[in-house]
Amino acid sequence: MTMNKIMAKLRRKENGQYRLLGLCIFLSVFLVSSFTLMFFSSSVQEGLPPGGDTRKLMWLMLGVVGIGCLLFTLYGSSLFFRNKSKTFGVMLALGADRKELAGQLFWELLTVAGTCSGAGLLLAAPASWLLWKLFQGMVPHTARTAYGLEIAGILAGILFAAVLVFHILFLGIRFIKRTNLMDILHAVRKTEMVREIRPWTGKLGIALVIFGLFLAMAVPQLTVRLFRQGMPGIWNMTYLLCVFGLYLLMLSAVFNSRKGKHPKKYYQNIISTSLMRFAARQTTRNMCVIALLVFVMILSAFWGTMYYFGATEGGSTALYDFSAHFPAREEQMGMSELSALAAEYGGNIRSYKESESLQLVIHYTGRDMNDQRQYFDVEYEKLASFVSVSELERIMGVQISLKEGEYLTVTESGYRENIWVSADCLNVIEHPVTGRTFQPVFQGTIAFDNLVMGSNPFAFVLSDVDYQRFSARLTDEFKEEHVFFNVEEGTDLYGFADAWKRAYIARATALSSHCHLYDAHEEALALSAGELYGYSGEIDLSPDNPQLMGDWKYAPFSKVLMEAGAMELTAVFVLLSIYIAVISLSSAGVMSYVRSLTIALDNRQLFEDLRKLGADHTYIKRVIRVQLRKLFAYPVAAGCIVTGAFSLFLTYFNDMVLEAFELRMLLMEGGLMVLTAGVMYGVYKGAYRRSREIAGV
Amino acid sequence: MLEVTHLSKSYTSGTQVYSVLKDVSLKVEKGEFVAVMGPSGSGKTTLLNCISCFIPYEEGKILLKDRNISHLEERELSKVRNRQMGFVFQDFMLLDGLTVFENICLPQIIARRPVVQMEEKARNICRLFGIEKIMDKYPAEISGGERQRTAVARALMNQPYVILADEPTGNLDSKSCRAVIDAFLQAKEEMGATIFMVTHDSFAASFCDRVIVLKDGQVYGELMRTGSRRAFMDQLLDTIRTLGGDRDDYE
Repeated sequence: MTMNKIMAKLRRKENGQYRLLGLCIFLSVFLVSSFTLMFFSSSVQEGLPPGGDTRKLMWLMLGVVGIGCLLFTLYGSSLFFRNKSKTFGVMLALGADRKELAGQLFWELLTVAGTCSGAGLLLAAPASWLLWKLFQGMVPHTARTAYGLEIAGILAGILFAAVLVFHILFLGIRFIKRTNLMDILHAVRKTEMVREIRPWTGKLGIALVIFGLFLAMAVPQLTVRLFRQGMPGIWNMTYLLCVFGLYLLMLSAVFNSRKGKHPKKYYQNIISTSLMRFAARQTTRNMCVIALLVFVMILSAFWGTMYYFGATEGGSTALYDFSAHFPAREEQMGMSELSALAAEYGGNIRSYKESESLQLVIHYTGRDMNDQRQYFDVEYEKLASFVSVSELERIMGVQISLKEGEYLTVTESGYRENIWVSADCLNVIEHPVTGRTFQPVFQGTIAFDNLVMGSNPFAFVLSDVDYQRFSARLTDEFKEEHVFFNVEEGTDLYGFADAWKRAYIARATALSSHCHLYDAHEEALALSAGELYGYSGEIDLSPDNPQLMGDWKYAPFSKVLMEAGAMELTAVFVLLSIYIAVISLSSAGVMSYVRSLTIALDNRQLFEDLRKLGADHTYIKRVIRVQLRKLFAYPVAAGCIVTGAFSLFLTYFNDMVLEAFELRMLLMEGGLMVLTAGVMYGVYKGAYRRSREIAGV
Repeated sequence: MLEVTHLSKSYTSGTQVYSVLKDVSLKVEKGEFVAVMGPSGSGKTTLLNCISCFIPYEEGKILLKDRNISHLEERELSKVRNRQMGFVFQDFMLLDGLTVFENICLPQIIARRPVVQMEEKARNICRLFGIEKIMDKYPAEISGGERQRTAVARALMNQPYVILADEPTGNLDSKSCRAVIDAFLQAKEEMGATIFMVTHDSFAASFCDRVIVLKDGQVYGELMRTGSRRAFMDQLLDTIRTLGGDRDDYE
């Protein structure tokens, strides 16, 4: 019998602790690595728009994934060390050398962490491949969804595993370095006390959560609308009020218990309540973290879905399934060529319309924001599309009333006013050749997605007389051609759309080779002022350029490709969001489970004492159950309520309107909350069973 | 064998400093069975923890067989704990994953003693304490008294200069308590062990050769057992009454 054999036997006997630690390490490395493999894959990186909020959000999510996994693993390891403390305390008391024990622990941890991290890393690749296959099922019509392992993803996974192992070893060193042996021996019984709290603490907590959310989410929108003043970045600190409110709420839930109108219940729960009070600070902190993880979980799943619906929403209501605008001097496909192409895909062209628009200089009032986040009016000057009212009537098939000297603004469907530009922004129209100006009167808006896609900030409609007046002496350089059409049902829509897009790109010349925000008038103004114009230069007109449809001024529109593109982009986002949700839920589950076991371990002696006082198993089970219910129910309920309030504020204060699809989303979020509660209930059942085993009931 | 001189220990809580031990000096001779008694808060357990070097103290010296162990380095201290001290805790502190036999062997396993002699010695001790039938059982499978006898046996494995026992009968019923005291007496008689026991139990203390009484962190007095155990117990009870134990709070 040697020290090594004894340690090996102890390991075997304590294998439950090693299993839990190993499982935490494996799960967290597995989740993070499969996430990074996917996140850094060229398909996702190409699928995400360059710059912009989506990419930032993805990085933020990557951070959340890392922190969430680190958190629950470290929490799992704390239980491991807690259970180890007795063994080490006895060993030290019997004269074992601290350095020798440290060495043993170091190798044990390194073996467990190394093996489980390695397994996590190895399994991450097939798991991400499987998920990718699932993703491909969601995005069928695209070539860029081929799976490929990227070195950056592997390295990121390895880096995370290294950081995790380092943290666990650090905790091990800290554990072994605790010099006061009595603390180690009695670590399992160490509790702490919080100061008496006031009965109104819970109510104050709720008020702070609501007030904090209102300050953080509603006030910035209201100040912009009322005073044209955005709030500084530091204003986000008001979210801390919510966190503090949540803390008070949890503290109150743990601590407060009054006889009130239900003295029987009060006395029934008196042991559980008093036990929780003795570790109130630890428990409250823990419950707050669980509530925040529930918040992240539901919100990420909600955002993923919201993003998906948001992305497919734009353009889906367009009157024509296919449309394009291009410089009048370009030679694009006409009706006969399109019909021939459609025939190749088993269909016919329907409702084909051609039209022309004038590119006139508009002087309009927009809005910008300075460094102090104040919004101010700016006079802009650029080209925009104008069509005549009779042309628009013909294309749209509706009657429109517009007199000479008046104009209509063409908007997208469901357009709502925003801070940057309003529909009545137009001040003056200027003939780009003669320089003649005209001040029309705003007569309202008309929605026509196919037209507004090619003109920023809007396209406009003039009376036939005004249109003719501006058309005179306007060279082709300032004219655009438009085509609108549908394809009959039964056609291979995707095949046709893709072929049309390729043919359209193939026919585009240098005349069309401009980026999305390019404006010839703005360029001329900049050059005459001796300034650089940022949107000059040609773009890569290749059908394989993944950014082309988003970056090209004359990109053709087809619903089927738009939906596929949105699907591809959002599927990545949805997939990653669901990942965050899974990780957050795992973290919340592990933390709640570990905390439950800690409570059972802490109270083991007390359960014995209760037995001596005549408590039967039913009573002790109740003592455990009441504590565990609080531990699970309050954070989940608080997390759900805060998420609900957050989502409601977010959707409402974004534009002060709740649309039908937003309401549907909020309902779906309710479903997610039920799902979360269900999963946590499952964890609660497991934790309750294990706690009963610990208590011997 | 064990000598404590001018030992002082205090705890700080916020700005308040509480003196727990004030200039405590005592001596325990080889083969002596000494108990420390006193009311709650008198500093009994703190004294034991200081002697065990489990907690640091501000002033004083602790000599174990004339060697000052007050400021030993970690490694040296481990050796002292392993070879010169034996510990018996109130809640036994047996490792649940090891059998009774393995728990008893633990001090020698730590000291890397030869296996054959170690196992032989452990078996002998088990026989001596009447626990040979439970040698292969785990702590969870045996009674409180058996657990504590196992703990005493473990403490004796390396033939330490002194056994330090912290309320060893605190968690036991009267029958088990007697069994543990018998184990100590057996160790003293048959192995010449020196035992230093902290207790609040007059019955357990009445078996000792000498009882040191602490009050408010100071040595209040010493009682030598000269006559019968029962007479000594009466003497101890009288002393406790004098310390305030008989005061009626409602008077």
